[in-house]
Amino acid sequence: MSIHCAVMRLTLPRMDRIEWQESRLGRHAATCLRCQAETARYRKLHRGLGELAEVTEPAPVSLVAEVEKAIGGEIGEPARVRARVAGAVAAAGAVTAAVAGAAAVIAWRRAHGAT
Amino acid sequence: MTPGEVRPEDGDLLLRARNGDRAAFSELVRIHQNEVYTLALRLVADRDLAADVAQEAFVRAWRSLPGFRGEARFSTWMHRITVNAAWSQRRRVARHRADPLDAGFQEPASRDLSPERAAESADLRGRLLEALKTLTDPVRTVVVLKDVYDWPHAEIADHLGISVTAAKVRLHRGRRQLRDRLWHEMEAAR
Repeated sequence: MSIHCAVMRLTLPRMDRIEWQESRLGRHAATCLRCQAETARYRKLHRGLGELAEVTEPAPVSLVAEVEKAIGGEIGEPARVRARVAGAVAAAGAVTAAVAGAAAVIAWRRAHGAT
Repeated sequence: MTPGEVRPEDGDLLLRARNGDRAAFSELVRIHQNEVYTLALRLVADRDLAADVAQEAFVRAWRSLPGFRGEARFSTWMHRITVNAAWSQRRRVARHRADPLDAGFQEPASRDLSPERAAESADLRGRLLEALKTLTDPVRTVVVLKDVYDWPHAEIADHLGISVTAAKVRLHRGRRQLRDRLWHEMEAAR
């Protein structure tokens, strides 16, 4: 095994795509059957792994029901949280308006009492 | 797209689900269940555990829906949640089980290919799935996310809480181990 073959062995697992044509190792691989075979193995490995993403496994038939059961107590929760926040904002607004109204009445009475 | 909007391909199901519509969320689960389960299975290499991971991922998604801003597709968002759920699940299992998780992978259904190509593909796929089972969880996770699902190194590192360098080291180690595993017999015969 030459130094180029050894470098090939170390480098191939680091490559996301196997493209060698312009590199020194590529020129070596063009004349080395051992490295051509090794390159082919990694190409095949990449292809096989990539194909796994295209093959979908059927989920268990009970998955949807299990999820529904798991979130059963939480159904409507996002809407309820938003409703609680909206209610709190409305209540704060009402309190502010009441305080402002009371202040206005007090000011009016003072003004009329003074005259 | 502004925050708060959802992508058209996810339709109004997301909007309804975000408002607490149970039927809409169930429909989203139905649409995405196979994809989520497949990713979970690739990550944990165990059918029962993958079902638990998929369920937990959807429950987490339900809880996080109000915060989903639609910057990514729902399926992409689900992928991230599934990876996190798988990682948490494995940690829990590792605390309670000492034996390796060896039940699981079965040969998936073949696609529409020529008979020769389908046979070759199925053969490689079967051997690959077996080889993946022999990797450690951290190494398999990185290999699956990068080489199967094409995640960027930075995103993998971020999700797993490791450096990009560490993610790459795991990836290279995993590829090398897969290569050795897949072609070991051939090498040994020389």
